[in-house]
Amino acid sequence: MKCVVCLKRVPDTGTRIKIDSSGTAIDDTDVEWIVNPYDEFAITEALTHRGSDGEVIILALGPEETTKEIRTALAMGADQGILLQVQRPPTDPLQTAQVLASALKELEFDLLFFGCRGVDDDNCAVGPMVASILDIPLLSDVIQFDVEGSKATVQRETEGGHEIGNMPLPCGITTQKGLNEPKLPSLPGIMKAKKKPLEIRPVELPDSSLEIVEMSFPPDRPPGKIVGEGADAVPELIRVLQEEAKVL
Amino acid sequence: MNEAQTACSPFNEDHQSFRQTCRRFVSEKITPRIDEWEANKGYDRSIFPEMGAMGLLGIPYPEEYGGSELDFWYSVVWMEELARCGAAGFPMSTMVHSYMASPPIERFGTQELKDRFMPQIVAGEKITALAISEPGAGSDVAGIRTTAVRDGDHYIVNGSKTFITNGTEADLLTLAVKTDPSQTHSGVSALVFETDTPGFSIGRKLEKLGCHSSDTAELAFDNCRVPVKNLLGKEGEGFYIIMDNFQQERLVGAISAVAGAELIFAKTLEYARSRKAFGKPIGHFQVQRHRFAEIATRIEAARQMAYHATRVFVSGQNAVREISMAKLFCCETGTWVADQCVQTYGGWGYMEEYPAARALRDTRLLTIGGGTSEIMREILSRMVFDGKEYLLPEEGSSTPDTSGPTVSEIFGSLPKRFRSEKAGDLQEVFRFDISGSGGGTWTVQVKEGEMHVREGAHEDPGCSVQTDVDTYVAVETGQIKPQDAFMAGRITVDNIPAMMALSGSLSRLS
Ligand SMILES: Cc1cc2nc3c(=O)[nH]c(=O)nc-3n(C[C@H](O)[C@H](O)[C@H](O)COP(=O)(O)OP(=O)(O)OC[C@H]3O[C@@H](n4cnc5c(N)ncnc54)[C@H](O)[C@@H]3O)c2cc1C
Repeated sequence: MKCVVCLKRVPDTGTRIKIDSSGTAIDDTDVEWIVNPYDEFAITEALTHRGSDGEVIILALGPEETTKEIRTALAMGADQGILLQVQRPPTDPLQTAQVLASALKELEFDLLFFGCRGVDDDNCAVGPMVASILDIPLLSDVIQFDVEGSKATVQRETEGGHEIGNMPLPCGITTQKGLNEPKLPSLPGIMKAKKKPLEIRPVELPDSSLEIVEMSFPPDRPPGKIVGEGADAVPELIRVLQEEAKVL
Repeated sequence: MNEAQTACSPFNEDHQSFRQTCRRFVSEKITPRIDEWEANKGYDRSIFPEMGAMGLLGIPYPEEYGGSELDFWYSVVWMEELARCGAAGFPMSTMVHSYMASPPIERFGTQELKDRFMPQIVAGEKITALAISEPGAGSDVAGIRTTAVRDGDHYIVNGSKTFITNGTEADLLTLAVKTDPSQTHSGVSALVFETDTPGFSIGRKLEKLGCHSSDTAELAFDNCRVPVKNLLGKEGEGFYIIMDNFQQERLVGAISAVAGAELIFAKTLEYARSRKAFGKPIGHFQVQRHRFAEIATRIEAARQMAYHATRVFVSGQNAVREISMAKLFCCETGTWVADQCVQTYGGWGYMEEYPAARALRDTRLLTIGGGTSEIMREILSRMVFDGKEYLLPEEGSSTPDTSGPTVSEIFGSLPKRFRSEKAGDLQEVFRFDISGSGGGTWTVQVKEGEMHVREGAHEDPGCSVQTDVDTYVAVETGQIKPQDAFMAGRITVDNIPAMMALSGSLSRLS
């Protein structure tokens, strides 16, 4: 199978995020960057479907430094990388989807993989947008993925249950936690990755109609309340949940 | 790290990307299990193949064995990251496997031995231990009493070992034995020992002060038959093999000590920010703040020392001085830091709920294992006071005396000092090339129980010896032990057994 995985470089989830002076973007000095954790499921899954004569291509849109995250994917076992290079990654998912889609048109893949969301902007948008631009089927939040011949069978998570669906190839999925255990790059993998092909293509972003007006932190959470200990506390807990929190 | 630190760091981008892998592996696969291993007094051996699959057990080893053959800084990264698992015991077991027990097999084993065992060692399918210490001999390696007596193409091994890390889990031992109990250093040999050999038993698993996630055992050998082809190097070379290994082992000790200190210090700072006394976080009291400044400074000094020793070691130069200093200073700093951290934690520092108590008992080993602080000071005092440059650990050697016989006087004395009854069946031609003023070339022939010495190069030698005048005189007059000079690269010998037989056949120079 020829597999393409779209990868995003995101701030490490442990990074303390600061907002820059414009008030509309994060301040990226001192930020540690990583491969979007959901994309790790995507890479790992693609590798299991590659087969002996297939290939896994990593496609990323981002600044030049994104080559580091692409190398990580190559170290996990992917075969080659393509960086669509821009100065600053777009905040509008439609721009991202348009740029990725135009590169994908030339790749003639069988399977296309995305993380279900980027842990930075949490839009959950790029995968489905790319699929509709390319006019191919895509199912999101996939937790099991099987391919037989030219048909893919997909299990996806829905509110309170599971849904099973079929799609013809070429098709795409977005990956949800539970799909697999993401592979860590091994030391021999890291060494081999240095010699794998990685192409850098500067690209122009199309116009966007999305404007970020303001970024702000969520308000501090109010302190918790201890109503008592052990079984004796249960009546009081129920009273507080019913009368104060009004959740019961 | 800020920009200046990054620029001065010995680690390049590849090292750092490997660091990310190590950090995740440790936090996902080891840290969640470490408390259980501490409680069980030993790790679960299934972690070894997991480390093997990640390439973590083959960093320095050739690709043909599944390794990556990378520079020692990758190993430093791995040690530093492994320390973050939150206990020192399991990292010690891993380090013993990769950097202490298996290197002699790779360096001195026959091709057949390496082909057989190295791939399994690198894959983590076989766990290795280094078995040197005995109930009666620790610092004094040449004093071991476990014997290996030749019987056809086997050795019969009898004796016991103690304090052996990985002792209850090991499939293979790099085992120090006496093949010639009448000799001290030159009687020591090293064998690869498979622990499924009949007659081998684990005496007991030892109860320790700390490092609980690592097992430590007493081992017993009762008429165990070991194939002669399991010998590392030649018979009688065991002492050199062990000494050769010590440098790396001590460097690993120093690096791990700094990494452990850094970790407990970071946790202590966190605690000092949240713990309140008299209405303020305790970190606001000046005594505590100054303590932190002191700890940070000493850790930084220790780290730079360990990195400097690593640089000298990686460059291939003799690093005995730097490594001994780093082992001494980093390990003493490690135990001191843990003690200071317990103090900042106060009563909670003494309780198992917080990490300081474990750090205190784990770090206590640092100044004992892999050569005690006293032994490091012994080595260093001989270098700084006696002016000996490269001496390796050896107790009680005397101060050198500078006035001595000339090289030609010494060669003249050889036939008189030759004791044919001690020479066995030695028949050999030795060529000595002694450089420096007063030196020259001599040919020494032992034939039919007699010794002939002539100046110049004559018959084709079966053993060539190269050294300088000072070293040769120092060795002959007993100021330097031959094994030290040999290890320091001040004497090169191409036929060690013959040279040993020759030394053994000579009475002392009077
Ligand atoms: C947890 C643990 C794990 C270990 N793992 C291994 C292992 O895997 N394999 C292995 O072979 N060994 C292992 N050891 C043994 C370790 O290497 C020895 O304990 C160490 O070398 C000291 O030897 P010893 O205990 O016999 O002490 P001794 O040699 O009896 O020393 C006792 C004291 O005398 C001092 N001393 C000795 N000689 C001199 C001198 N010349 N000048 C001044 N002071 C001197 C020492 O510094 C020490 O303070 C381990 C030990 C421990 C505690």
